[in-house]
Parts: sequence; C-alpha cells; structure tokens
Amino acid sequence: MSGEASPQDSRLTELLEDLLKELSDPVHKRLIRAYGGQDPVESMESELASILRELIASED
Amino acid sequence: MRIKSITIQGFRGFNDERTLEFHHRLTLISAPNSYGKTSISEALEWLLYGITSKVQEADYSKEEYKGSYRNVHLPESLTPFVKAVFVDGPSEVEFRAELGEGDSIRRFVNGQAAERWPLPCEPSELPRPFVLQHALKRLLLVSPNERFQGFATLLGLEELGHIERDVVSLCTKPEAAIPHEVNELVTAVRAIQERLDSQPSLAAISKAFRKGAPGLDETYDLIAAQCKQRVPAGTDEGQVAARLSQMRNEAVSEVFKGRIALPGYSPAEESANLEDEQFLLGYVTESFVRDYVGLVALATVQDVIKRAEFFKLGLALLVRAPGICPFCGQSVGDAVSNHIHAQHEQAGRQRDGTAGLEDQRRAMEQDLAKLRTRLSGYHQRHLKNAEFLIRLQPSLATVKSILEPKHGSHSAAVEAAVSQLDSAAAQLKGSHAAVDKTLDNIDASVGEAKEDAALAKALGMALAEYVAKARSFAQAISNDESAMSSADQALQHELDALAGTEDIGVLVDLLDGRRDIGRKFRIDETLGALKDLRKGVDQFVANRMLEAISGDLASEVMRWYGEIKTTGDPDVHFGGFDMERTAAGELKGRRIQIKAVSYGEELISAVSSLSESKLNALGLCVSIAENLKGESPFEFLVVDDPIQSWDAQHETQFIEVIRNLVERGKQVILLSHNKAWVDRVCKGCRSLNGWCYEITGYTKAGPEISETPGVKWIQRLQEVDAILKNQTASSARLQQAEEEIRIVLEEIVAELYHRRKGVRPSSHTLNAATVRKLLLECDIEVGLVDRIYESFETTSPAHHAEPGYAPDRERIRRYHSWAHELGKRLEDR
Repeated sequence: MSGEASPQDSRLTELLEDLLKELSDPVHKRLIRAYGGQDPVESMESELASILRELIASED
Repeated sequence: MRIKSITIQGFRGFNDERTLEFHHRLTLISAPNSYGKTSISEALEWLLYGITSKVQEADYSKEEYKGSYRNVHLPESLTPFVKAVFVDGPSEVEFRAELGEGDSIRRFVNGQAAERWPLPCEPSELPRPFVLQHALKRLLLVSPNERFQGFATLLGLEELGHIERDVVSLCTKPEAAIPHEVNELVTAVRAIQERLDSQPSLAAISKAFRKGAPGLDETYDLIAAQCKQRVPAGTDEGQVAARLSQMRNEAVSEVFKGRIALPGYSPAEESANLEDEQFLLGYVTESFVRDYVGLVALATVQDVIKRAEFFKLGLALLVRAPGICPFCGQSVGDAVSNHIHAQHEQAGRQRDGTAGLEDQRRAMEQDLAKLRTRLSGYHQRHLKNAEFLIRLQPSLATVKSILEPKHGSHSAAVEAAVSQLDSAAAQLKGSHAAVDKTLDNIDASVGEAKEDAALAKALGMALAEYVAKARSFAQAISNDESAMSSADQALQHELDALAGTEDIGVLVDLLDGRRDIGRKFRIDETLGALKDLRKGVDQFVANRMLEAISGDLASEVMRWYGEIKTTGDPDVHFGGFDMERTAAGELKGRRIQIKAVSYGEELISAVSSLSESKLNALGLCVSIAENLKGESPFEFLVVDDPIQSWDAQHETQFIEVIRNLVERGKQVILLSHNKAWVDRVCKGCRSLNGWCYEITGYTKAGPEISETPGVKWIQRLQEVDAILKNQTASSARLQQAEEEIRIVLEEIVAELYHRRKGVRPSSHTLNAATVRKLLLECDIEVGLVDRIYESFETTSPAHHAEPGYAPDRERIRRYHSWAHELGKRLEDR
C-alpha cells in the first residue's frame, strides 16, 4: 500500500479546509480539524470531551 | 475505455457460458421480460463494482439477496464468472471476476490475479456508466434528505453529505461526548441553582445567575452585598466568607454534628494500591520458596556451630590443664589430644562454609518484615477511607430522622452503605489477620529452622485472597462514593432548614463554588454554540450543493430534457434545481428542490407536479448529464429499459437521445423489453452502424441469444453513399463511412460462407486475411477477392486506423463500389 491519499481523502481534506475558512469560533475550528479517521463522529466527540475537560481544568 | 465483449457463466439468469460482442458505437438488445436481459447489465455492474445497484440499494433486505448472484442451475463444480474485454486506444485488457464463497469476488486482469481493476481510481468514484430506471426513481421519489444523499453520490460529493450528517449528529446529541467529571460539575452547580431559586430573599441573585456567563460579575456583586448584611458589622471584607461559614456551622451543629463522608481514592492512592497489589500478588515466587525452604539446612549448621564451640571451649580449658580432660578429669594422651584438635578444625571449616546460609536467613527476615510493612500500608489505606462512614453507625437513627421522609432514598442508601462497608471491613480485617498469622508461622519457622514449603504456599494463597477482598472493598467504596456525597448534600440542606440557615448555606455554597459556577457557564456556552456550528456547516453544505446542481449540471439536464419532451406535451415541465430556503431566505442544509414550471408559473415541486413519465425522463436526463460531465475512463453507457410508461411520441424522441449520445462519442448498449421500439431505434440509427441482438427464449441453460439483422446491407451502403455525396461531410464522418463499408463487407462474407458451407462465422471477428480465405473457399473470383482484401488496407486487424490515416473520398467510393459488387453475389445465390 502506498502512503498516498486516496481521491476521497483529498476531496474530504479540501472540503474541510474550505469549511474551516468559513468558521470563526476557535472551538468549532478544533472540532472540524478533529474530523476524520474511521469514525469521524467519535473523533469529534473525543475532541469535544477534551475541550470540556480543559474548561473544567482551567484557572478561570 | 470501450467494451468489446462480455462473457457470462453461472451469473444471475445466465447458466451456460455465453459471449456477447458489442459494437463500438451502438448495440441493441431486446428481450421479453424475465429473459435475462437485465442480467447482462447486472453482470457488468458486478464485474466493475463487486455489487449490483439492486443489491446495494436493498438496505433493509440485503439478507434476501444473499447468494442471488449464482445461477442455481450451475453445476457445483463450475465457478460463476463474468469476463469483459475492454478496448483502450490501441490496447485491449481483459477483466475477469469470479464469484466466490459468500458472494465474494476474485479479480483477474489479463489472467493475473489482481486486488483492484487497473483504473485511475476506484470505479465507485467515477460516474456510473449505467442508466437504470429503478435507480432514477430512488433519486427523485424519496425524502429530501435521501434525495440530497442521492445527488451527493451522483455528483461525487458524498463527503459533503457525510460531513453534514456527522456534524449534525455531534451538535444535536453531544451527550456522549460529555465526560463524567464535566457532568458531575454541571449537576452540582445545577443543584446550587435550584436551592438559590427556592430562596425568596436571594431572588435578585437568582435572576442575575440565570444570565449565565455575562451575568457572573453582577451575580457575585449581589452575593457579596447579601453576605455583608448577614455578618456582624465591622467584619473585615476578606473574612466575610469564613465568618458566614462559621455562623452556619455553629447553627447547624446545634442540630447534628457529623457528615456523611466517604472519600474515594485519590489518583495517588489508586496508583499506590496498584503497585502494592502487584507486590503482594507476586511475593510468593518460585525463587522465594526455594530460598525459604533452603534455610532448613541451617538446622544442621546449628549442630556444626555448637560442635565447633564445644571443641573450642575444650581446647581452651586443655591449655590451662594440659593432659587432663576438663569435663571428666581423665588423662588425655597425645592421640586423643590430636583427635580433638582435628575435630575442632573440621567443625570450624564446616561453620565457615555455611556463613552464606546465615546471611540468607537474615535477608529472609528483612524481606518478611518489608512484606508486613507494605501490607499494613495497603490495609490502612483502604480502611481509613471507609472508617468515617462506618463510625456514623451509632448516629444512623438521627441521620435517618433528619433525611426522612423527604430524602428517603438517600437515607436508605446511607444505611445500606454503612452496613455493607462495615461487613466488608470486617471481612477485610479477617483476611488480613489470616495473612498475619501465616506470616507469624513463617517467621517462627525461619527462627527455628523448620521451614516448610506448605507454609510458603499458604502465604501465597492468603495474600491472593486478601488482595481480592481489598479490591472488592475498594469497589464498594467507589460504588457508594457519589451516592454518599449526594446524601451528605441533602443532609446539609436539611440541617440548614432545621437550623434556619438555608439562605446562608446557599450563599456559602455560591462562594465556595464560584470557580465551578464560572466553568459551568463556559461549558453551557460551548455546548450552546454547537447550534451555530451546525448552522454554519448547513450553510456551507447547502451552498456547495447549490453550486453543483445549479451550474453545468442543471443546464445539461435541461438540454437532455428538451430532447425528450415533445411539441405536443402540455407546458408543464422540469424547471431546474435549487435548494429549499427558510422564510428568511437562508438555504436549508440537505433539501434539494426540483422545480417545475406550468405555463410560465412556478410550481411547488416537480416531484409532486410532474407525471411519472416526465419524472422518469427527468431521472434519465440527470443520469445521462452526470455521465457526460467530467472525466471518466468509461466511454460506454448501458441504458436499461429507458422507455417504460412512455407514449409513442416520447419513445421516438428518445431515439434522438440515443443518436445524440453516440454522436457525442459514447458507446451505447441499449436494452429494452420493447422489440418494436428497438427495431425503430435500429432504423433510426442505421447511419451509426450497430449490432442488434434478440433474446428469443429462455431455458435452464440461460437466455437464447441471436444476432438479428439490423439494417440490410444495401440500406447501409446507401447511407454511406449519402455521406460520400455530402460535400460538407467531416473527416470523422468519412472515416465512419469507410469503417461502415468494412463492417458491411464482413457481414456479407459471413452470410456468403453460411449459405455455402452451412456454418456462420462471427462477422465481428473477421479481418482482411480471414475475409480473403473465406471468400476463396466460397469460390469468389480472385480479382474481386483481391479488391475486397484491398478494402482493409487502411485499417489494422483490430479495426484501428493505420498510422497516418486520412480519409479519401475517391478511395472510399472505390471500396463502396466493391462492397456493392460483393453484395450482389448474395442476391445471385
């Protein structure tokens, strides 16, 4: 198997980059950047969980 | 890539191996329903994609399709397969797919096993070269959401649909992503808010609290003011919270002193527990048992030491009174004296040799002491967490009376937890005592040099049992921790009520919880803003889809739709694609609108307004437009039964669509149940060449396919003549005419041979050399045979134009006249 991205991966990356340009909220950008892998919803959920954990660990 | 032929064995309606050759421009196949016509397009679909669209779309009933690819009559010993030869420029490539167990597919390219087809990308990423009616209805006559996904698939925008679906899933149901500790914090803050809302004296704070993060500073200004009112005048500002808390505790302790506390294990404690458990469970190893049992040798050593000491003492006394035994007073001669010296030296050597065993014993004693220390630390760590709650036992009746009846479940939970933990603690202590006793026995055995392997084994078992009990105990604490914390909160609130300190209690909790309240507000903001993320993604997706459907696609669909519609049609037609919008004009994410126009007036939707025949036409147009759009290695298009539910006029219009497709460079394979219409297509497309097949019967062996004469040779030569007379005919048209002459020649030769020899060679496989050979066998004069042979000079045996080819009207005219001459021989015979 070569390490080259498949056409779907390339199209997906391109779409996500275009979407990121239209978002301004940094949290939303983080969630969209997390999109990918075998289960994108799980991946975004995991990022959201990290964001929430950071919120409760933050010093105001 | 054009398709030259397909061979099918044991797949769907095909049993015996059958091969169909395809014309490079147009192949027409007619068959009554259920004669295996669709098996041909399904075989090609399966070859390319490994699945047919019929099975792919049968989401809910895929089970019913299991094993349906294999023809039931195919003998077990044979393997179903589909093989196709594709022509790509000057080269040919054979794709062969064999059907394996569980509908699996094995691929072979030119006879070599292959993981995938040698295409620029996966076939599924390319426009599907199939125009199938059932797929079209699914595209249009479905919910807007399914339609969106169907269009996304058709337009190669599946990822767009997936992003939207996944983001919506996250934004509408984020609960799965919320960690346990975040939920706990949110629940705790909500509980404070509920109590705040129930205090009329704190209504202003409650109102500010409800504003969330923007009202946080205002909330705490109001809290500070309220606190100040409740502490003695002159209290230092920095001491207000502590003073308030003290006031509350004093008032509450008048009612009840005590808390329901069951602290869980800190991360450091959990880590220490794990390490201790590994140590305890791994203590009694084989090496331990060996070392321990080895100490039994010390019993013999003890004798040796005593003996050496005895001889040493005797010799010392003999020095004082030489020649007299210091123990019995008898005379000691030289021989006896020498013997005593020798015995002393030997005992000394033996003692020195066993010095290592002594060290081993000391090490064992130290090791056992270390085990006791570790065990004790582990034991205390568990007990101390539960002791506070267990000590509540004598006050349980009071706690119950405070909690009940309002907090009956908390009361029951506390009672159960105290009882269970008390019992678990007793068991843990008992198990600990058993380990201690075994250790005492081992210690004693070491001291007395009476080591016993059974004791070592008993220690291992006692430790294992103890660790198991300790783990259960820890689990019981973890299970009850949260419930006891809630019960304690309830107790504190009830105590506040009894002591008249409810408002003070709320103020104290608000002050203590300021940091968590701020965090909870930020969590609310983050989760609330997911709505905006969803909206942003919706708009992005809708805009992308709108670009895709309203640009080239819409005009292409409109163009093809214009080809199909007839002049007699009522003026109610497809009016283009759009995305549905909200009242405010914003695009809706997954809702594709198919517009329709009735005599200039826009209708709500084509789906609800157009007749089924027009929807079919629209579906065909979408599929055709998509196939002609963009890059695809497939130059062929399989059109399966396109004219269902159409009237004669629309059927005629669609013949023009077929012509148009071929003229735009598509190799069309048209299948239809309607033989009369296929004959009309054949006639309407006679200038394009093409082959016709008819499935005339169906048996267990599969369909009976025969090639039918499409247009008579004389008519085809007339078409060529018309092209030659047309002075504006393009080079491409002239080349087609020249090629047509050769195809006519091959068909005449095949027919001549059939009449002469009774065997029909396949005209599709003939070339210059075989034509010459067959004509000579048919006794055609050599001069004409040579001329016919010359007609093939401008083409290769594979029917490709020779390099440097240029059409020459005069040459083609000569070929045309020779073909005519040969055709006459058919009439002569």
